[in-house]
Amino acid sequence: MIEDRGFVDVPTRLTPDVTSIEIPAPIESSEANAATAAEIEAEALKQIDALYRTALRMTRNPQDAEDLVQETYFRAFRSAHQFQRGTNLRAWLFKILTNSFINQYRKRARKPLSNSLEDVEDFYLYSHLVDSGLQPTSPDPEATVIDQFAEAEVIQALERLPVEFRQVVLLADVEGFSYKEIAEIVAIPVGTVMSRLHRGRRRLQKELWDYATTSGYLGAWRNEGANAPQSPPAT
Amino acid sequence: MINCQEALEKLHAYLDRELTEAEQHEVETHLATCPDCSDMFRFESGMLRLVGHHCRATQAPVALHQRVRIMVHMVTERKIAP
Repeated sequence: MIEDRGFVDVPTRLTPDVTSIEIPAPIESSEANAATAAEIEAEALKQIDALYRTALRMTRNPQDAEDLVQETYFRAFRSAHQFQRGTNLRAWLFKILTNSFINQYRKRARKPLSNSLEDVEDFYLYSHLVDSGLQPTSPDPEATVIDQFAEAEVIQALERLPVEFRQVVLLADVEGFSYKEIAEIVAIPVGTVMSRLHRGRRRLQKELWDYATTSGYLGAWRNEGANAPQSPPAT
Repeated sequence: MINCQEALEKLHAYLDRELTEAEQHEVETHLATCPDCSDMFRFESGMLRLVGHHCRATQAPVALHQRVRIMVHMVTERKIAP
């Protein structure tokens, strides 16, 4: 639990990095700064889809996700004076979203985040496909067995992950943040980001495998010529 | 030259572009000569693409765009012209 101590109510300014945008500070009441505020606003509003899809996967509820996004923008612009040159605006917004979510989640759940997650071995899905006599990859990289999973199935598997693992997977694999950025957004050490990411990804593979075995996908992959993956190449 | 185990240990960091240039080169050199590792890397890369692709398909509702825009204007106007 020690690793989760970092959630704080008021987001702090993130250090600059490659995705930083130039934002003069502070935003005060002058003509020139009014234009700057408009620029910040435009940049911030571009993130609404990304913030919403993250909020939706975290809350698993469209109304809660909308509320969370509104709260994020409210808090961001209320404290817009914190924007400074070199602030990573995108990461900053995600940090506010994360903090807002954690506050609400803790209030509702009345319990701290847990780090419990039954561990899953590396290459879970790959190994299980091979063990079932299936070829996990294909010469056409977008025509593999896993590409037959539908959007709803992938999302359902993701939403079964405990929230602290899901969050890191979303930030890395959907939003493309670096380990360092995620460490700042979630307020955990980089090593914890890596371990949660790896464990979360493995767990996601197990969820997908479990779905494949219970939904009939596996049988279809084995038996149906049209949908079956390619046979292993002759050696 | 790194072996299979060393390459697989670096798989996530490689796919996440978190390796140094030298480490990345080591991994790529190994992958070029090892079809088994190369296949596993391709599979894991496909998994990341699958998750990213499906999750990024979600867009914010139009009504939320409008509400946020209005709310942001209200907040910032107070800041800019107190």
